[in-house]
Amino acid sequence: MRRLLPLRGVILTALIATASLGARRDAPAAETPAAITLPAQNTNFRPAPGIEIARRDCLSCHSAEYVTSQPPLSKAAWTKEIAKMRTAFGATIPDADTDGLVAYLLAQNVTPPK
Amino acid sequence: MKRTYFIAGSAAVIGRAIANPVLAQSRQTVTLPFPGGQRELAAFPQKRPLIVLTSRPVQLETPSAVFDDGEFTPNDAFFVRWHLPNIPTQIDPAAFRVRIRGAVEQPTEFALDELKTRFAAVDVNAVLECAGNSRAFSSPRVPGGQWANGAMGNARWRGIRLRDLLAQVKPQAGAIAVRFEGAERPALPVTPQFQKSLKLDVATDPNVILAYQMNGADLPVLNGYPLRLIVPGYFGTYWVKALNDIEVLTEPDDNYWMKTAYRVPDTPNYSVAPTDTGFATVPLSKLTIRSFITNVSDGAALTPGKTTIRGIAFDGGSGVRGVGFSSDGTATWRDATLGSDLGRFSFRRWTATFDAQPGREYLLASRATNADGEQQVDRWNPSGYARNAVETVRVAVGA
Repeated sequence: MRRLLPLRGVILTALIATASLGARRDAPAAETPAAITLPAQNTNFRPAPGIEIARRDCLSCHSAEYVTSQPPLSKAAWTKEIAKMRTAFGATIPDADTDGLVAYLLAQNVTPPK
Repeated sequence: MKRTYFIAGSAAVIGRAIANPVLAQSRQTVTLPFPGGQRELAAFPQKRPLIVLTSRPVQLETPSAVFDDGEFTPNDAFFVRWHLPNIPTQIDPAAFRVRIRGAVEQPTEFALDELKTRFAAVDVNAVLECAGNSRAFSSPRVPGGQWANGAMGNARWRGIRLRDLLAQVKPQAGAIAVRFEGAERPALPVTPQFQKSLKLDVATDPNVILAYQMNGADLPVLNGYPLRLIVPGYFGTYWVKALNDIEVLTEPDDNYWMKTAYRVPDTPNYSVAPTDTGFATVPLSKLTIRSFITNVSDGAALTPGKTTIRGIAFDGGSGVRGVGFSSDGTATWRDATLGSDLGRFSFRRWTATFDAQPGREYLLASRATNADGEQQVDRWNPSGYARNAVETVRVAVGA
């Protein structure tokens, strides 16, 4: 049931590409440009106090799943993650946002950390 | 018997120019077996519906059922892991150039067609596995990309040997390493560019290639079209996508992605206790040996009688020598039958049979051994890297 019509298109493309290989070695066929359009990033942080801080400080570099897919992390672990975003990746998270962001990240944990 | 992921209404993939409105359509979800394991399934461009780990940077996981379909992971099912949010989406192969510079006598830019016509094409079957594959099963849990077991895949890669290219540009005396960079870019100019480097002796291994094909077709854009570094036996972090810059170095590479990221404890099995601190670290390099059961998933219901279990195994290039199968929760093992040998870097299939008694439960497990005698081990490190524990699958047999 997983092999549906969309896949057939891909297989056909692959077969055509394979079939033309022999000819390509000596005289490369003209390559056509590739163009894709990515879906928009997911911005669905879990509702909790301070969600606006997460939207403001996190989404310029990564989507919401970077937060929502994490296991329940402790306050120390979330604080370390914010520090990593600043020092390793240069995130411009204002100092005034730190406490509120940590509180939000803790509040949105799926289940409380041990 | 097999978990399947059926998606209605996914966007068709036709040719190379693809618009993809899938996230705007009805949302399909899957729940992976750990807290926080709820994920969306979405068909990104040139991909069938895959498990969305993160949408920006794009990280997509292969559903486990795919690994039962054969030794090679189809391009449209192959996992995706970018490090930075801005990736190339419009690529003109005629305009593409890869530059080789640094400590070389003849810095050169090569067009894609030059690579294909001036250098010998070679094929290598090799597993690509993310360093953080299976991270979500770390216990205790660790921060990072929460992959289940689908950040891996096996493909037949076609390209040219890096060493042939290096011979052309002539590394200078004193060259010790080669650094690679692709076309992905950060959102902020201060964020480190994604770069990885290999020691010169690794970079000149004949199995290291610059690939322009994967399983007989151009690479999907999300897997690094038009050119990707292939380092068989090494973790995926080195397999730089959309590769367009190669720099020969005379000093050790101290960029963030080598000096700080992707490092493991310099301890046996890269393993420490969760309370340990202050240990030295080394860059992660070779894949660890693994095996998986692919035709039954945890919680599956079986019918009584002689039952065939299928799976895959792979390692960092010594080659899988054997796979043990257990139907009693790792208490006793018997040899599985190995499938075709497709090369020492490839997935290798295996099968084993057991007599499923009516009304009983079984804890199935597999354990691979490589030509160096290495086996799968339990390990823990703070980044959840290189997991290769023996996996178990609980099944129940009907009356």
